[in-house]
Amino acid sequence: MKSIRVFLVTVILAVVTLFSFISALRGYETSLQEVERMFDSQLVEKAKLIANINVQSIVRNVDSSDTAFQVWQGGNLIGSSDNASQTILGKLQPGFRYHNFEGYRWRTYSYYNTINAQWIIVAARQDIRFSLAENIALKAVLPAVIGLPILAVLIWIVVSRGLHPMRRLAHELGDKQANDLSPLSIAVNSQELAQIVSSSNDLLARLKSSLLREKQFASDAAHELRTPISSLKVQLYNISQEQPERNKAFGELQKITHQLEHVVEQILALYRTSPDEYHTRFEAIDLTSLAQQVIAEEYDNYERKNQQIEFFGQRQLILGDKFSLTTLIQNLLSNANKYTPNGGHIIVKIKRENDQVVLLVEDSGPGIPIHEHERLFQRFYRVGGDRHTSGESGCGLGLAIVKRIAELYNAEITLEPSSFASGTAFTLHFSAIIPVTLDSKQS
Amino acid sequence: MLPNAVILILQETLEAALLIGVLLAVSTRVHDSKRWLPIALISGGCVAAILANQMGIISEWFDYAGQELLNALFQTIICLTIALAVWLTATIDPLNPQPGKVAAFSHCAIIIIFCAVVREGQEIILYLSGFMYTENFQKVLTGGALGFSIGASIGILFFYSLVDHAGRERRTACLVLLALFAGNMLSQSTLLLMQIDWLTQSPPIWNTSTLVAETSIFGQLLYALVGYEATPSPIQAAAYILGVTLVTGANLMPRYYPDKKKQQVQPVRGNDA
Repeated sequence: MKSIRVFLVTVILAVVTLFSFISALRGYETSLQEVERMFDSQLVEKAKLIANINVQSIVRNVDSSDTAFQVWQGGNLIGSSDNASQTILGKLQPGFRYHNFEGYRWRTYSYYNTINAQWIIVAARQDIRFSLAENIALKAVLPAVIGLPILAVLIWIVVSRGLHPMRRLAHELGDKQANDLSPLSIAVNSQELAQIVSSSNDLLARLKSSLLREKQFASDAAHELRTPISSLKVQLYNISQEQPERNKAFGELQKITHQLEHVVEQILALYRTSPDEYHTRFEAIDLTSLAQQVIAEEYDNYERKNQQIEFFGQRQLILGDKFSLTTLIQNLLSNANKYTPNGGHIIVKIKRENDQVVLLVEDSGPGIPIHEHERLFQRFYRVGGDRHTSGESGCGLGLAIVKRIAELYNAEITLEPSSFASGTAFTLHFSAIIPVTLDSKQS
Repeated sequence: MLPNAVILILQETLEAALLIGVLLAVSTRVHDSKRWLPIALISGGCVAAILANQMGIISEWFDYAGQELLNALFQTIICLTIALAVWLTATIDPLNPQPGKVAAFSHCAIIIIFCAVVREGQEIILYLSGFMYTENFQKVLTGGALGFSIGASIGILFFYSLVDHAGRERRTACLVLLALFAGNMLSQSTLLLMQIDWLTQSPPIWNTSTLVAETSIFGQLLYALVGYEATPSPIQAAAYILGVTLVTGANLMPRYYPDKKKQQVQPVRGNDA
């Protein structure tokens, strides 16, 4: 069911149509029977009138060929209308019956006048009677048929009006930003929606408080861990200097400590860039030179894996802060470096598209299945989970941080297959501030 | 006059409305757009009008058997296309529908509804045009509007009652109904071929007209829904069973002959920096 309004209107209209039209048909049938009864009573009245007139000859019908009559006495026809036959119309028995003559079917009524012992038979053409009866009955049905489109419009208006508060609520919920956990401000009069709004507001409040606690805990824990990790690193260094024969074991320990420090730094970066904790004043930043700087700093990593990294870009200014943008580029490049095999390719492009600056990072890695795209930016999520086969260490926070920073800049992230035989291309669209024309290509 | 118009147009509309309802319910499973419905209705209506206009010439074809043959052809096409559509729905994965198969299903739906609308539409137009310049035209038109609206309303309620059910129940109900529709179409086409002596007429294998008369409203509904015949001939019964078997077989075929193409295992990478 795509639209509640369409569902309600069509179903209500179908039910109303079905019942009103079946009732109209039943009404038509009843009206037809009633009119037939009325015509029958007219036949009775005519028969009694003729009996009172005491007709004893052939009488010419005036302006009516749909009615005929006969007057019988002692087995002889003593009077009739000029359109009646000379044989008995029906039977000389009281009551209604049908009789065919003159090429038509007639409804007849036989009446016995006891005063002068006469049989009066009155007949009316059945086709004309039926046509008249049908015309009368049709007038009862026609308003239901003509009124259907009006009814449809009325139902549409009433249903739309009834669903109006729900649409307003849906709009307010739809317009909410992902990080907006403020209560709904919509005023609703309906009992059902008031309950929904109240429950939603309670839920939002609980969610906000829970998120705040989670952030606080992670941030505090990371802060608290920093000091002992630094001490651990110093102590490890000192011990390794004192016992050089155990350098291999200390090397492993230092590697693990470095990973631990990395996780803590990533957690801190994630919460430092949270919108509600992000108070840095934005300034004009050249994204190109920042990316060049990050590539230069991380160049050893690419060299170690014999990867070729290419950079294409022009000077492009955006409003932002250096720390968050550096973190964003670092994470994207680190991700590409980790999951691109030895001897692979990485391309970084920064270009201008209308009023936007586009940052593209693509690699020749194994690529990411489409169904994983949605979850890729979740915190602590790694593609394949426990079955992660890349052999690279990681905590699953890098792309979550990228997404968080992109949200701060209202930058749109898209994932596509890269231009290589396999691999992924991450594209971010930032709002540009100053147009530039200086072209450059560095590799 | 009016009751005759109601019954005749109700009979024609009901069959098409129920078929549309079932196909719409099936299409919600394969997640196709419902654009096939207006396309089939409009094109079917236009072709029905043209055929009704040219019916005098068409009916003279094949030694005055043209109209019956044309209708039998439409019914056979409907039956075969229903089988194809059922086979497609049985092979489409509702969680990851293949665009090619979904498009093929939409094409099948267009053919089925187009043929149904052409067949029913030309009969309605021929009936109404017979009264066009008579004093009874208003009555026939009113009766037609009543019959059409009742048929369409039953179709709408039928569709929503189908989609109201959970996936598995809905799928089973739709499959049973489509199988019965297909059987009905093939059975009706043999009846038409018997009328023009292309098939030999034979005495009915049973007579249930005293139990449910074909002319009663219940009989009409059963006729539109499951192709109820009070006095079917052996050939009609055989055609009915053939149509039902064809659709049931089309549904079961992917189970015994599954698609051999295997999805390639995607290499994985991580979200991390």
